[in-house]
Amino acid sequence: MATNKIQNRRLKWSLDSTRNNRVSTVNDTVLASPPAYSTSGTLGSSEVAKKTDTGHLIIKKSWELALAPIKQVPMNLFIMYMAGNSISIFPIMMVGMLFMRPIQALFSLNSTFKMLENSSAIGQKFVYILGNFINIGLALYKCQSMGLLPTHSSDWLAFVEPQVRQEYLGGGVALF
Amino acid sequence: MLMKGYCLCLLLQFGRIFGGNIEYDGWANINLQHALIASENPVFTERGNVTIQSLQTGLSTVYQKPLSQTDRVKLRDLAANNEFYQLKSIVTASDGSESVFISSVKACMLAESDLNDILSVSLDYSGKVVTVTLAVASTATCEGAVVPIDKLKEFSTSVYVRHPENGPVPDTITYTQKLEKQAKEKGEVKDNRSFLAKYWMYIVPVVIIMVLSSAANPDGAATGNNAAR
Amino acid sequence: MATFKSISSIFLVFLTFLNVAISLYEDQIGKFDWKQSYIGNIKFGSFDSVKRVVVATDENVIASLHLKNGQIAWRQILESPHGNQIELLHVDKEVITVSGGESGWYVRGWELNLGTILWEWTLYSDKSLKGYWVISKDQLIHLVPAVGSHLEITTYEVRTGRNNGKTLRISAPWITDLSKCVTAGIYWTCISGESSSAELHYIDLSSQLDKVYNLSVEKLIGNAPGKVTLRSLQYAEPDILLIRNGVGRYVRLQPELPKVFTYGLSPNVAVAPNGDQTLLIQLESSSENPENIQIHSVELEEGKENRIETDYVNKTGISHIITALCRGSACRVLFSAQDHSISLLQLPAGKVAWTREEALSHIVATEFLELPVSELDASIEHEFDSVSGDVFGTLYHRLTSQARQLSVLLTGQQSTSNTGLVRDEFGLHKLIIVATNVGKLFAIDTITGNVVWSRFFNNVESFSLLNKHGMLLFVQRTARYSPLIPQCVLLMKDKITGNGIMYTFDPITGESLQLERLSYQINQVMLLPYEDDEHLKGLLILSGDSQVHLYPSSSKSILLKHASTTFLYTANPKQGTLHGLSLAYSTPENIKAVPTWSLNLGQAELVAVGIRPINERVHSQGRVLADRSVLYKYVNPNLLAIATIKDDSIHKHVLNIYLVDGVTGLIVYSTVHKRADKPVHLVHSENWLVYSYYNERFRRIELGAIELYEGSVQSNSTAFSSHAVSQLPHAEAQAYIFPGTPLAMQATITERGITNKHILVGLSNGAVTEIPWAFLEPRGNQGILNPEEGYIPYIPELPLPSEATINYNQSLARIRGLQVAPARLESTCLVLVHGLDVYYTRVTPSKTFDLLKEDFDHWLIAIVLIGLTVASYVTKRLASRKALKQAWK
Repeated sequence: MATNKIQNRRLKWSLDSTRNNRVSTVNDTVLASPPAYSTSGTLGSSEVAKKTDTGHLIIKKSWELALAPIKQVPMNLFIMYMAGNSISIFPIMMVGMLFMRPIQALFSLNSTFKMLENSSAIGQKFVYILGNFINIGLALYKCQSMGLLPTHSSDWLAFVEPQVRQEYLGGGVALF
Repeated sequence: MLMKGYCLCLLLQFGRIFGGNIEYDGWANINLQHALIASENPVFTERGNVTIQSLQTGLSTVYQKPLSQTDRVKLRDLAANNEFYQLKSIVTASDGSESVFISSVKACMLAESDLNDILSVSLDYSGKVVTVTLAVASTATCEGAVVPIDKLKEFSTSVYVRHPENGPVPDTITYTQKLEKQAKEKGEVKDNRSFLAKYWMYIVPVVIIMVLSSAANPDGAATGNNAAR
Repeated sequence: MATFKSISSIFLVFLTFLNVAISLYEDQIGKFDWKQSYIGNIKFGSFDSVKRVVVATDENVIASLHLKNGQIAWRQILESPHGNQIELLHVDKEVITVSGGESGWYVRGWELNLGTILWEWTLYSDKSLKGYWVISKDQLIHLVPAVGSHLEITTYEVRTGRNNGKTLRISAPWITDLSKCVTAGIYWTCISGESSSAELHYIDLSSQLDKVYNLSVEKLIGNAPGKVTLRSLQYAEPDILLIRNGVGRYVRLQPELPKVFTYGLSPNVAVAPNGDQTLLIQLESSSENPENIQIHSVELEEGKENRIETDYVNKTGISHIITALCRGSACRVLFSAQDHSISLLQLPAGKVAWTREEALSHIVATEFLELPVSELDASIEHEFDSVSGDVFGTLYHRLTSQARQLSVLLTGQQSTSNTGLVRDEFGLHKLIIVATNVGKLFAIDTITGNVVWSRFFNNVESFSLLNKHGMLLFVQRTARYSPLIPQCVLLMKDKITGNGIMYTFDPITGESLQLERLSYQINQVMLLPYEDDEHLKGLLILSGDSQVHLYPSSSKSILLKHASTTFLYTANPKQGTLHGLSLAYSTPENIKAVPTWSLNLGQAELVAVGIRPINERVHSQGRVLADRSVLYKYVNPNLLAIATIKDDSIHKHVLNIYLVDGVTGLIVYSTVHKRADKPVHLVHSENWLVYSYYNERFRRIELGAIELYEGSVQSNSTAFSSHAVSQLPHAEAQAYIFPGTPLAMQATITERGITNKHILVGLSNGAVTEIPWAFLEPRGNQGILNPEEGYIPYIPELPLPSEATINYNQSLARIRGLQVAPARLESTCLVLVHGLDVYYTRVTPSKTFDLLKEDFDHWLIAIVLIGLTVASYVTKRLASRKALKQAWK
């Protein structure tokens, strides 16, 4: 019984050119097609439209991707301002986050631009990289204002070698 | 360029200790003799004279004659062989006593500095000369240098008279003042102002709020009354 | 009710375990430190019972020693021994001493058991005349002879000092030489005249008569050539010893005719009372072993002789008996040797009961020495030394050394020749080589304080360095370069000729390598800072006639290589002059020291000369300021700090401090304090200087501190040369009031210079305090210094809290010097304090930052870690099983 049903289903939906008459005689409920409807239809124009739309869209999306890091700059600036210049757990976490995000983005550069693998997007990639570098620069500036970068001479004091002694002296109080 | 900067630094450091604090002013006459041939028993020849008119201020006049050709050759050889240039100073003080001091510098340093040297006359608290030392301002030593003869013309000596500083004294006055100030701060600061003067900051907003609310309320009361009627 | 009881009992049990400890635990007292008390060379001694002996020393110290072990029962330290000496010791029911000299005589009575003072009174007499003291019954008799004319005898009541006002004056023209006069019992005797016409005069001091007995010496002991000398026997009976030609005759003085005993005795005989009998005891060298000592006892009345062998090895020459006591046949003899050691002999056994090394009461030179590594560690270190190149050789070497390590681990014992003297990991086990004033050299172990070896030199004395005694001790080669043995050299002065003596030895075993008597006087000594091929540092000696000698002569080649950069300086303390010498003109045949600079500090007395310690390392080259720039320190390794005191008519005394560069003679900084006097102590370290002086105006001791900085730029960052003077350093100075009297000062030193520096000050009350450098540094840079550095604000009077004393309750008498040495641990510094007592301890200026705390529970942490790991695996297993079970449902 089930197999019959399945066969009927197949028979119902299959477009068998040889069975055209049988289909029409078995099932009288064939409706007329609506006006301006053709069976080999709408593929052509949507394809054309998609083609033009997708190209445009891809460029738009790629520029969006490229400019995303630059759009994050104001938010980063605000986060930096909020975090403060002291050395405690919250500012360090913020700075860490500020560092890790651009670096991770740089490393996952290819996977981000995966959808553009067919078209070259050198300009977008360059802008994206630039944006990430700007973010890294912001993080470095934050480090500098917290005093973590070794820019002053006192930071290199531990590496200063003691001076080599050139003359030797001996003697003391006269013993006789 | 850097050397010149350091030389200037050195001169300034030496010059800082001017205006000394010795008790009796006096004068001193220093006769300079130098040995241009290095040996264990050097033979000293005349170099010049320094007269310090006032030990307190350090005013001095230096008289040195330029070097003769033979002297220049000797000095050049000294510098080339990395030997010591010895100076003997015979100091005659104002009370007539004479003392002799010797001092040495490396000849190559003297030659490289174009015969610019520094004579440091150190005094003790009573104005007696403790030592006369010759020094050349430089940041590094040399190990023998060959200098052309025409650079070794004459000495240009700067004389510095150096006095001892007064030793520090335990500073009890500022410490006791600081302690008193701290005690005053910690002690009771009696606030003798009136109640109103102390707490006006809190009373005024409360009064304003009450006034406003009563101003709002009468209006509300008025409108309420009106609405009720 | 029951639960309440149990709870309260548990609570009580817990309470007993609760204790509060603030500082050192009582059971930590002997753990890191040890103290040894000494009394000095014994002058008089007397047994007060069979248990104790009371002694008086020439350090002006009275002590009572236990006879069983030689430990000090009680000790009383009197005035300073310069000018004050003990003249009389009388032990009866109480101890009576007469001491003094300069400022009068003090007569004191002390209790026998505890040494507490019972009574005291003072007597003033003319200092220039020598006095004699005799006690008879309750009278103290003071005798002052005037040579050639008369005697003055005054009698005082011993306990109160009351005298009846009369001074008996007896004409005595026969007194010619006071060295020939002695006291004996209640008599005072003299010998006058020479050999054949020698006469013995004696007078009974207690009789209050001016009867003088004169006897010709011939009548007493016969006529024979030779000078006759007199010796007192330190005995209650009036007995003397007449010595002629090395043979002594015992004479008992009696009013009319003295009794002479016929047997010959040696000059160093002592009297031992034995009830009614009297025994005469003398020390002679044994006939069997010439090195041992033999006791020869003679009974006084009968003349019976007895010889007993002892096991005392005589290394020092002459020994002399201080006192002896006999009870029946058992005798106790207390004698001291020439090296100031005291020993007790027990007769008839002939055994030495104990020995005290009293030479350690005056130490003049100390040096800390690192011990060699154990053989096993040495073999590990030398694994890669043999660059033989073949694989199998190194493989074999490695296998054998590892097998040896394994065997050591399993059996737990080492079969090494070096029994206990190996280095420990922290470098705390060191050997202290100590030279004493009497000429004895000791090596002391730092962990136990025991003497490892000792060596005595006869007829040597120490040099006088600025009012102190000192000998020169240098380490020429350390124990690091095995198999080369370490080598040390000690320089002393010959007592007779004044020339130098040089003794080279191996400090670990005490083996002597060379003892050389030099033919010249030593003026100055320098240990060369460079090693030759055998890692030996040569010794350069400048003799009194300005000749230079080099030992060993094989170091000549390396000296000539560095001759142009080696300089010497000498300071003449009396005249206040300094001279600098250079070795640049040395030739391979002749090493010459030529003067290069001179300094004349006026007719001033040099009180202190300080140079930075040679093995000091400065860790940071500058200080960090608040704006994160650096203020560089002026670290000049050739800087000398000189302090002189000059007498002045207006300012009484003026203290001058000069900082002189020792190579060029340039005075870098000088400062003057008017109205400042001794005592002056100087500590010079890194780039600072701390000195103490007595301010006469305010009558207090003050400390001054000077710190030198170069500036914000280093003039030469690679090499420091004294010739290159580009800028004079900028000096900050500050002074503080010090509430104590310093006897010695020293700064701590550590291996790398990272820990803070503390200044150790030995005070006159027996304490040694630590003052952190942070309290003393000049606060001139406070405004620009980083406020987070934790600086302490300026306090003009230094606080001396009692927790800062490093010797808690062990007071040290008469501190003379402090010696510090770094341990291999960065946080620890080893300190030796010597004076009359010797004390050793460890100091940690920055607390023990590189050590785990003592009760670090290794086991607990290990168990917890293992437990957690096991638990995590077990739970993982259980969880996976549970998940599987769930999946099947």
